[in-house]
Amino acid sequence: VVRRGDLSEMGVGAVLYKGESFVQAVEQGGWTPQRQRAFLKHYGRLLRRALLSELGCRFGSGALRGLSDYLRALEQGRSPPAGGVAGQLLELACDTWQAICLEIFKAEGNTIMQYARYREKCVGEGRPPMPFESFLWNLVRLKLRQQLPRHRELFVPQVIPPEEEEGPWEEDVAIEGAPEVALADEVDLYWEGLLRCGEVDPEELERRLRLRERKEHLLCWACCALKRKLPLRQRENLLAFIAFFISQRGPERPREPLPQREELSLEKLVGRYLRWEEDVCRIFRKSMRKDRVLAQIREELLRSPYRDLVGGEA
Amino acid sequence: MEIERFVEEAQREAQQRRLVSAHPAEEALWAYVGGQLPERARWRIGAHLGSCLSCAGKAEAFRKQLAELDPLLQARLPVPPLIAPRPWWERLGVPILKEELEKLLRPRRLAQHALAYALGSLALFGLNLLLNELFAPPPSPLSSPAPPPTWWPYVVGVWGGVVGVHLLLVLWARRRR
Repeated sequence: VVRRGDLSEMGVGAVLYKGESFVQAVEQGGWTPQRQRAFLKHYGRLLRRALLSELGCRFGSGALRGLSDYLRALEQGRSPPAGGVAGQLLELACDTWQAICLEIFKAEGNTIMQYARYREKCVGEGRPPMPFESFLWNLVRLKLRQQLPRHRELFVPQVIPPEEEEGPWEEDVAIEGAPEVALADEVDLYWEGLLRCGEVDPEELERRLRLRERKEHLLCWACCALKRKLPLRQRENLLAFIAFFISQRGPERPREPLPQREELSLEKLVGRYLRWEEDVCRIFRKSMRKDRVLAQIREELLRSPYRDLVGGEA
Repeated sequence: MEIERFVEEAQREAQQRRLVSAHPAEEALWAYVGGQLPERARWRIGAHLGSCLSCAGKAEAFRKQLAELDPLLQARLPVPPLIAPRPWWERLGVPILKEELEKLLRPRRLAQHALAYALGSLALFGLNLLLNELFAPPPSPLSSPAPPPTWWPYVVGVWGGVVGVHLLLVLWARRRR
């Protein structure tokens, strides 16, 4: 049974078409051309990006560059470059796209209904379900994998992947390579989390970082603890300070356009050496006072068990 | 200790980063760029990119490639079957009517309808006779004798009407479904 409220919470129902959610549409009247168009308008870019990323994973960026040249030649009415696998890659992309659309838009047991069932299962087992977007990404992976054996010309004979059976694919989210990534310092993981407005638990930092030995670790812990206490409006000032702090290290980068408020990350900030008034306030589009945030951090540190490290009484 | 000095010292510590040795797999970088990693893995790779210029360069190149390819590929991907415009007769439900008419012309259904037609004809013939008797004008010596009763248009009309209403109901029910 699909409960509409549940689906609205997880974002599928939040996408509206003429005041009606996709879930309601699928439940009541099934897919119509208009609803399909609206769905593709909203999720089409995500599906295409997933497809391209998956092709990039499997065939490398060189093959994608070839595909790009091939498509540009077709667009301009020139004859596409001879040799290479771009034509076959395009065929594979088209076949996969067709399979994805058939899966999403079929009348019975389509992707939205599958997601609803998966979510119910997760709730029943007491674990958090993945967002709908990740579910769609997995669908793209599955459909691409199913198409690969039909495009044998893209592989050398020894590595043709076997045809995969239809089966439970919702859990197939593991991306190889991510957990082994080494960091220059583990504290960067939490700085990144703070910049991306994630929930970072200060107790986890106490367990995993060396707060008494490293001032940077202690500062990160103070920011996490302060973030928890601050009302939503004041959190932005703290985020601005973190962005400023992160930008003041690393080899200086050539001047680039300022990052948007939504795309703050270590990657975009390290080496930027932002100025508070000219850059940080422009990113957040408001005037903010750095000394006020610093005072809040100081208060937080003085209230903490680490007060002796910042000049407070032990 | 003044808070400004504390932050400066933290800054100095942050500057003294050692070099990273293990790099994310290309697959993980593609997934990161596509925005489809679980939260923690996303943070980890994002944090790595902050201190690894070669991986950051790769990620940026992947991003550019994606942005460039997306519109080109969009123009070439096939349109899902339902989105393709349907001809007007399909939108009006002509295929449904055709299907129902085919059902109607099956021998069993045809026999049922013929029986109903025959019974209906008899009933209407009787009704026609009765009505003629009741409403027939009195015989006049001046006028010519009354023409024989014409009952068949009524029978055909009513039967056609019944079939028409039946088909409309079927059409309505199928569209609702």
